[in-house]
Amino acid sequence: MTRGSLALFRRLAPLCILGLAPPPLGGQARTVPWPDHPLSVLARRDLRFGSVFRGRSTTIAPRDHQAAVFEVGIGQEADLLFTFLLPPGLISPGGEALPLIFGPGDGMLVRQSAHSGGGMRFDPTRPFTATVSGDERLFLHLGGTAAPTPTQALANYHGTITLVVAALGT
Amino acid sequence: MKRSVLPVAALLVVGAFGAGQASAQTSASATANVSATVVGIAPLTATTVNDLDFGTVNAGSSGTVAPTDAARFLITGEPSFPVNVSFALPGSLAGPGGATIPITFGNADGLLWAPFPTTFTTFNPNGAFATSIDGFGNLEVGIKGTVTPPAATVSGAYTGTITVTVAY
Repeated sequence: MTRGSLALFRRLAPLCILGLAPPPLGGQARTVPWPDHPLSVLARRDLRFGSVFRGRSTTIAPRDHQAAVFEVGIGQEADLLFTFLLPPGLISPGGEALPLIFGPGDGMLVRQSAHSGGGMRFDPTRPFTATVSGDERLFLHLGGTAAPTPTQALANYHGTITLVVAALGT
Repeated sequence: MKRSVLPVAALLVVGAFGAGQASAQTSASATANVSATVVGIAPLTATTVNDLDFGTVNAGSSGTVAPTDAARFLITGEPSFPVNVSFALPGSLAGPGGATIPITFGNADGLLWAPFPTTFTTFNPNGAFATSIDGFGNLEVGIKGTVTPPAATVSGAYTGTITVTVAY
């Protein structure tokens, strides 16, 4: 073994030992999947601005009944990373775009155990993390602002918001 | 033997890490719909319904008008929408031969009819007034004032202009 390959072997050897070390009692090598409960992400409610007027911005607060709501659960304690995929605007059947604005006050995380109706504000334009414990469910409320221009085409506009949740560990 | 050590070690490491990733669900996503309907705002219109006419006022005294005889403007626009009402008010009325008489508007000389001629509330016409178009798309405002021709004022007709401006 050359000097270089010996040095590399010394660095890798502990990793090999960790990966192959037999469990204390079972006598069989086994990797434990994590998480051991399914990660659940559900869209419970859509974000509906309703009728908005040309030239006038309309804001839906995160706890408004027209705000979007996502429900997240994993059935065990875990750190979760939340990332929203937000459209810059809504699109009409004719292809016109209605600008959307999201900011720091547009998201609110409410825990299932929160009876008071309070929650933690978050900025949906930035990924963020939160810890969920046991069977707890998290509810992410999302509002936003529709900003039609003074010459905005009169039409129905649609788009989608996607919430991506990643389990980071415990 | 020397050459076999490194490839085997690397393979074992990859195998141990990969097994965990393949069997765990570590991310999930959901999508919600977003919708809006853009509607237009009815344009604002303003029409003079009644002029402010003080009638005959004696020199050396003051004259005013009853609310129902005040100047009145009918404004139409988007139902239930907020608007700002403001007036451009003269400080005097012009008469014959360049003569003038002062005219003033008090803090309660602005009239918000709901509807005319039954009930009204007052506001200060000397500044912007925030109110709303009613549910039927109408807003009726009025304004009265006071003229005080000094003694020895030249007899004649004295006139001026009041302009109302309404904006969303």
